Amino acid sequence: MSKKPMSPENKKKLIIGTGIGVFLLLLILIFLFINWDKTPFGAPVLTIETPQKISISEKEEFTVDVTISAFGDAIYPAASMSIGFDTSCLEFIGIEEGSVFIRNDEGDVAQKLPEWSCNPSQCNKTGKINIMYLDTTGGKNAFTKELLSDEENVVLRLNFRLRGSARKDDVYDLIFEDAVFASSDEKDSLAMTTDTLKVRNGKIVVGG
Amino acid sequence: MKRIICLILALVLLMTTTACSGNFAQVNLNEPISIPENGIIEKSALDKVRSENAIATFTGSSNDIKYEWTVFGSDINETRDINLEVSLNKSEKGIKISFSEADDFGFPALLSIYLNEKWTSDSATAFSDGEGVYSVSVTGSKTSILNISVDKVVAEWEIIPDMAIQSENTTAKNEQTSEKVTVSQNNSTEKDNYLSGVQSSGDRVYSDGTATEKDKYDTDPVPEGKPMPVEPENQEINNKKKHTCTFSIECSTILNNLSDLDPDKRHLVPSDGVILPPTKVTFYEGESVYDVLQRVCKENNIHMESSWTPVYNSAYIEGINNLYEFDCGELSGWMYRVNGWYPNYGCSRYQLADGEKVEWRYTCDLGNDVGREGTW
Repeated sequence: MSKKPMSPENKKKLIIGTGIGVFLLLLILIFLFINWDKTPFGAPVLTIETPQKISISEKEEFTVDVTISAFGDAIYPAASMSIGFDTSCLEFIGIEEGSVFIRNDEGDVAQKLPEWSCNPSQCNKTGKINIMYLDTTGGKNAFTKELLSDEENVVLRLNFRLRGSARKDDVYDLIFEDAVFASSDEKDSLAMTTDTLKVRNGKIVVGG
Repeated sequence: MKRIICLILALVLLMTTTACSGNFAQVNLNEPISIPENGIIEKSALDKVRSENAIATFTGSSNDIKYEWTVFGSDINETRDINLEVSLNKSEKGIKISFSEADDFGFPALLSIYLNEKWTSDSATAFSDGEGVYSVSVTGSKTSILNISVDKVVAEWEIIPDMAIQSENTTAKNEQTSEKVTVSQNNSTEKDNYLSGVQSSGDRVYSDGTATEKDKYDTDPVPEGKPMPVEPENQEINNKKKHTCTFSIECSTILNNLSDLDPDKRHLVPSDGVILPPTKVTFYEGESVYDVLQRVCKENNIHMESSWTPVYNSAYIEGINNLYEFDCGELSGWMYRVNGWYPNYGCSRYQLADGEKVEWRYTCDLGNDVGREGTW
């Protein structure tokens, strides 16, 4: 039995349909390409958020946020970061809690803030802020993506004070020298050195 | 059928609009914004930065060198379309910048240039038509970052590290005169072991970093590229040749350690810690940091007391502005820094060169709190 040939009208519909389909697919690809850095497909970004200009007359301490854009699917029971700064014009006071929670001692998704450790006096001697978090409960108090919010996720806050040698219009870079969110399986870890964790450095700008 | 096609087309149009306008109309100020190919940042984006009092960063690259503009919403008064594209080219002395924008932005913007190399100088100057127009801070540990607060756009700049300018001045000075203070020759005739690793540039002798032994005045080997000490007895001052340098004296570290300060001295500490702000001073060729400190203090009516220390063949600064060593803890005292480096020898042995920046700083922690690295 021979196949019935397609009518010209149906042929036209098929061509239009296929054309629109290809066109739509192309547009979706263009859309994803343009918005690539806003999609969750890229590596998470750890950012030192540049604060508003610090007044030269400001003798009180000020805060600089460190934020994370996302986590992978793994759990991260350990994290560390090393941030370089200019000790001659900035005094590092210490760290404050951020807004990124960890699981509680039962391992449930619950609100508990991580206890980061850091030695400010040593940091001021070396010019490197070395901060560490270690979950000693075998992964119960780990970082996970479920605990990130849709808003800005502040991992921790750095407290500084301007030294008297700071001058108006000075700019001090805060530079990530290393950063890691470690997973029990190394291939899932997020690390600056392996490019699985992107970093963005921040600046402190001294205003009038 | 026509209705379905119309519906699909409308959907397509909506997606296209969202995708293409997403860069600015719905700009996310928390993310760095890539500078478009034409370099133009639209007025609407700047309006948003201003209205949200946000801090926006616009990133681009030129010849494999990344650059970033940081714009503070609080600085923006008026907005218009502006072109933030810059062209960066390495030059013999530093880096050349050409701006695509012809007019001033109307607000100050911070330009950061991420070099792929490390500059040894911690400061630089932007020149336009041979004239210094901006001072540039140089930071970064592995590679250098140049930061300039730009409020006036000039067609083309060249940024040159300050150390290169100084060495150029020294070379020029060398070419201008034949009656030099030949410190290098003096040293070569009575060479110590530690002087085996030196290089001569103009009338100054620089360390090549190969020396391993201390000199006879207990000075550790001078780091590579830094000037070797000149003994005061070999000092030849040429009163006919004047130069300038920048001098400052400050004790701001005390403000962070007031609890350690002798209470009777509290009134001697200025509220901002600055005893003498950076001041351009004239000196004669061949003079040391100590010579200039003495004169500067006298001229500015600032107390200064020193003692001669034969073992170091140099004067030791005990107190400035009546603030003495140990006044703010056991590890406190005065230190000097030239062009960002703390010399590892006394101030009587540091022979100044034209254009150098000398800072006297009070430390409360053996130099650790004023950015001194390494050991004594």
